[in-house]
Amino acid sequence: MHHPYRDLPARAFWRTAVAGAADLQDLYHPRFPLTRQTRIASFGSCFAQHIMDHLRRANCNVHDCEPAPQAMPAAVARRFGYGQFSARSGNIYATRHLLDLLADAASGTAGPECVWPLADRFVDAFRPSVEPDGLDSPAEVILHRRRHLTRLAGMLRQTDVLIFTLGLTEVWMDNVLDRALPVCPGVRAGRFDPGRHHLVTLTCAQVLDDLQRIHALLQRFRPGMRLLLTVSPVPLTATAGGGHVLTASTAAKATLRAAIEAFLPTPDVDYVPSYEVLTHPAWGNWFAPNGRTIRADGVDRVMSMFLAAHGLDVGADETGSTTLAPAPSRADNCDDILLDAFSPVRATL
Amino acid sequence: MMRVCIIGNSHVAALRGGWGAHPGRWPLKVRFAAAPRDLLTHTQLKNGRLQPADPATASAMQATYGDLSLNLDEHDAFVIIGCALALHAILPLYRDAVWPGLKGADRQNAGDPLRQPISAPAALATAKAILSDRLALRLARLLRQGTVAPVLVCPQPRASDSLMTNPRPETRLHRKAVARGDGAAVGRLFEQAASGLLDEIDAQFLPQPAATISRHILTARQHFVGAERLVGAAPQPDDDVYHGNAGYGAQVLDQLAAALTGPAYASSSAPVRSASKSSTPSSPTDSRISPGVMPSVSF
Repeated sequence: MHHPYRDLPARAFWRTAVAGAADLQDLYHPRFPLTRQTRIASFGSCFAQHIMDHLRRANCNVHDCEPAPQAMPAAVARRFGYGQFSARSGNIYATRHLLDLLADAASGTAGPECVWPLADRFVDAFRPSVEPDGLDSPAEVILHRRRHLTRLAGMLRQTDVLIFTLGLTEVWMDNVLDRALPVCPGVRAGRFDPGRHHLVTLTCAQVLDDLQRIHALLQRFRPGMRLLLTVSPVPLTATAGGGHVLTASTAAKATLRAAIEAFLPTPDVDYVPSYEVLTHPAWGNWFAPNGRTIRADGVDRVMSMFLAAHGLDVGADETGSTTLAPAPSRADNCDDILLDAFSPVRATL
Repeated sequence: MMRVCIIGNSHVAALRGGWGAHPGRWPLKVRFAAAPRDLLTHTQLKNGRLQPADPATASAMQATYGDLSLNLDEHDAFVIIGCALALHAILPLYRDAVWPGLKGADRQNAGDPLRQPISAPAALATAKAILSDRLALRLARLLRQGTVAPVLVCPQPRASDSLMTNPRPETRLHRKAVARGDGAAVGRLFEQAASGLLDEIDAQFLPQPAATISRHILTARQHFVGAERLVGAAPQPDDDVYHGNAGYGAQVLDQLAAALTGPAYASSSAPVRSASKSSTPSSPTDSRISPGVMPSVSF
């Protein structure tokens, strides 16, 4: 008797594709190619920093429109938010935050609304992590933000593929500005005002709507720009939603994953299943003992799959390089990890 | 009388010359220990003695100090001079970036599309990271591991202002900074970075004597005339723009004596300048100078 399952490939069956699969080779089939000439930009959560690192080490053409001054040593550059993403944006955990940033870049405007106090100094409210010690004056914050937006807009006009790693659905909003904030005011800088700042947990429909608007904005910068999405496997550090952090984390990842699935029919959009690779126990436990941080070999596993699918893996290097150096071991530079400091019992892991 | 050991590279010659030219001017007992260029990199701390770890350094130590090793307990204070602690080390940052205090820092393109605005903390962190690897800092850390005595560090003199009229390719950035009116801000950053690094190890930065400074980032040319070499009788060449003479050395010694005999150091053997910090040597046994970068500087 004929039925739809009879002629399906091995990847459609759990036993052959997961339980009995030796590797991940049939998991990711790119919808569009990446080459070493493809101009790539990458933004997102902490996990996106690993993507930048690996693409660079694979000699891919990864944009960095705000590189550190040449004389600035790498450790200093990292502390000041250089080189982690394609612009000095800091972490972008939520679709709403990326949407606001792209709108800012399109308009090129930055005013006093972007200034948060940090003790007697000042930071950019929409990327407070990039200046951990703050800037001298509100005027300096605005100057730096305008330059950031100018550089970002210029880069987007020359970008072929934007990779965005989605991390969270919990977003702190500023009622007055009607804007998403990267962190809750008062955690890193700024002042929390319960009458002005409120938590939104984005629904699947809202994430989908954000993705559609992001896609449309990207087309304004460069028609034909492609969007490659991933979901960070890193759970939430904390939830302000009132529930348990584990269920909040599961709900967030499920929401993001479902929204992407609904968005995938959009032309020039693709999804890299890093979340699946690193979270399903069939393929091992890639988490550090804290159950949150992804181990370096886990990142290597995902990125090897991704690069191999595009022919950008070891041995395929057009420059003749035959080895991919191991990823340097380093701590992620994450805004949300600051929340851990407010845990009633400090973590020791 | 406080027993002071002055340690360094070719820049020790200026202080040695100043000391010899003005006997009795300073209430100090001074011994010099020097080795040219970066030879002091090959030095280790063993059983309370600073010892050379290779024959060339040993030879230099013997020639300048009169002994093959330096017993830390025989000195009440240590002064490091030169050893690549130089203002020009941070000039590459000036080439690439502008920070508050520099001309153009208030403009988005910084008045030069090749230079980007950075924050004051980022500039300071960069300058500190650059200077942290310099031999002077590495030597200061090594000494601090073996002694609680005061450790003071003097930079090598800023380059001669003769380069404003006799340009050299390697001093292009000096000239740019002077021409743009940025000398003061660059000079401030250097001193702030050096001072901050030394504070962290309970050592003291002694800035270049103000009277010798020209246009904030240079040294008046008369302080180079007739500069001695560390080794040999011949003076530094006439076109040398990096080595101070005996007169310059005397001014550094004035400043040094004032610091060591002033209120910051209550007794000759115990630092009180940073009372909140530990006064216990961190490692009384064996240590080596940490790896670092020695820039190419002509001697």
